[in-house]
Amino acid sequence: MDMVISAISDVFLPLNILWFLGGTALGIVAGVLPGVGASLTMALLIPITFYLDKTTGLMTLVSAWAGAVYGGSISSILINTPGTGANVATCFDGFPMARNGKAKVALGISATSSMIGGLFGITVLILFSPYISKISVMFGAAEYFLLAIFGLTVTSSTIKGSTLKGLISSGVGLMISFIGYDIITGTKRYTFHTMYLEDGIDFLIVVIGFFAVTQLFSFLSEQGSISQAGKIEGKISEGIKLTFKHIKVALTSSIIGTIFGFAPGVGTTAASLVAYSAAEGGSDHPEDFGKGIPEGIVAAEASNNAVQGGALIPTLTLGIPGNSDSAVFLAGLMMYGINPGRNLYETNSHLLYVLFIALLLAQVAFWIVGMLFTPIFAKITLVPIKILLPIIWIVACLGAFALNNEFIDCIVIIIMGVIGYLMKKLDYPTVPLLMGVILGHLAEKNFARAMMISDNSLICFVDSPICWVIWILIALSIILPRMLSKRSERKRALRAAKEPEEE
Amino acid sequence: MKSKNLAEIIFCCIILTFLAVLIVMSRGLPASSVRLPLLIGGITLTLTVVQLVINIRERAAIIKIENGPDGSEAEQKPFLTRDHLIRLGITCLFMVLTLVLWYLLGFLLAALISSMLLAFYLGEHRWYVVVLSCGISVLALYFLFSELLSVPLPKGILFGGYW
Repeated sequence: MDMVISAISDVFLPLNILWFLGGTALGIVAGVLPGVGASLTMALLIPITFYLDKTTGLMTLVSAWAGAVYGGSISSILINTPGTGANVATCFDGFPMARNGKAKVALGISATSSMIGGLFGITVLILFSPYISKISVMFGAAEYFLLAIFGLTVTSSTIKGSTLKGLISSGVGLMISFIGYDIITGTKRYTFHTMYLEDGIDFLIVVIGFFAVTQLFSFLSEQGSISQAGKIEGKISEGIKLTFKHIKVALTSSIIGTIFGFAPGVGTTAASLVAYSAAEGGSDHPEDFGKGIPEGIVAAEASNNAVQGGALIPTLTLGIPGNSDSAVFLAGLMMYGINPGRNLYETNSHLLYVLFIALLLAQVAFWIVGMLFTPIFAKITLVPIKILLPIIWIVACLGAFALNNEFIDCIVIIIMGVIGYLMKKLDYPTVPLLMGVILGHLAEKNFARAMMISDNSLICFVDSPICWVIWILIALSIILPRMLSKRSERKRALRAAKEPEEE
Repeated sequence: MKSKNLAEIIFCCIILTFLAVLIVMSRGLPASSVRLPLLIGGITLTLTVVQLVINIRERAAIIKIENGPDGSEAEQKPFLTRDHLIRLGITCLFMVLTLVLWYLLGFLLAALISSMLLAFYLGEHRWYVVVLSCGISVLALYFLFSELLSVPLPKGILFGGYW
């Protein structure tokens, strides 16, 4: 108890709070800019915070991380350009809501659900990390392969429109992920004898092309501003109320995010897409998803912020980063002398409590900063498209360049933008393609590893309890959406039959 | 609907070509490297062929309706109007121009010039609005990326920069 009180008094020192708020603001700004993200922000802050007190440095890193994950939702909602891969799913309903003139409501929902998801994930980390870390270790190659398949089946089975087109999109996405070096054998595949393709196509390039550039082309046929209503309606408080109205979705998505977080290497993007698809599949009105429905934003944002807590479980207890952001954070931790492992609670308890308190505070800090600046952010939706369009293009170009400092990435996003635009016009869903690109590497790497370990026997995919659980989830992800959509069709038919009777 | 159907058929053919090229490129590679890609590629190819057949049958049905007994052709909204296609093409050219200028002049000048030109092309003729909005945005982005986030931005070969 003394340790906790000491940690709290350290955290609330004026200098620490100042750096903490600065880290939050920088994180949010970095999150808004596509191609930057939490990893780069923390990597830049580590050498700066090296000269600070350990508490101050740790708090700054934590606040920047949390701010960046939330910040990506702002550009997703306002200009349909995810700031980070984790905010891809936020575009699906956040941007349509902004187009309906409800940017403030959408931003309010994203900040509040991000806070709920983040608090949930951190609470699980604080209370259960020593126990959950034992489950992290049980995830082997076969389990990761099945997790990747689960991610693909969830998104493919809940998409609207033609399932055949969705499956084709998935397949094309997987084939794109196979371009480059084979992770296991080191063979160059499908590189067309170019050096650029030897490293494969970064999924963030695909995301920037498919969202920012495709949206740019879509805007060409429009006049006016992003807000088709020509004004901003609704209040931020409406967004907060709507989040609590859909608290069940927020909590379910937080659970999904936390689980994906503590399975190392799966990624935040997959977590948010799976949570979105699960929310759509479990909804009474799935046909409204993608048209600016609050549940869509709640599901996406709660899950991607919950990943932070989940990813820290294997990071702190086993020294295995849960995702790329936690890998950079781990580097920062080790710089401050916090060595992850089983003895962490005994050897570094003071810094650990500072970390936990800072993590909890960070979720509230970005909410407060987000709420303060939402009215300003929302005004972007009133800027005429003919002025905004060139700026979106420059931002997309910069984001693509910032990833690898490669000029050719900017050309690739134009190509991806054209393909994305055609897919949109021809009703080919883009989400399965994105999932294919994201999960292709994970699926292939772990399939090959599992086959090598089991001496080419397929039994490895069914011989552990975790595998059985994932198989059940895969089956449910295919059967449940069909059952639930039939149920909602029956309800709609009953409602439609009742209306003439009442008349 | 007819033009959209034609576009769908062409798009299917592009996907088929892409998949076929990747499958052919798998020749000569170790079996363990191409096992999964060939499986996924084969399945996707099959599904795309099915989609292509569906699209061709739809086209046949559309043509049959159009050449029907009453001989009337329903008025249809074209899939992509000629004007829209021209706008798309010119915008793509502006994007490529941005990159060429970026290579020659560096990020700052290239972004300023290309964003202002694009804004003028899109119909914003108030020069002071264009200069202010593009100027402030580009400068802010330059400061954010270059100074705050330490992302090295190219200076352009005409100003002594290098790639």
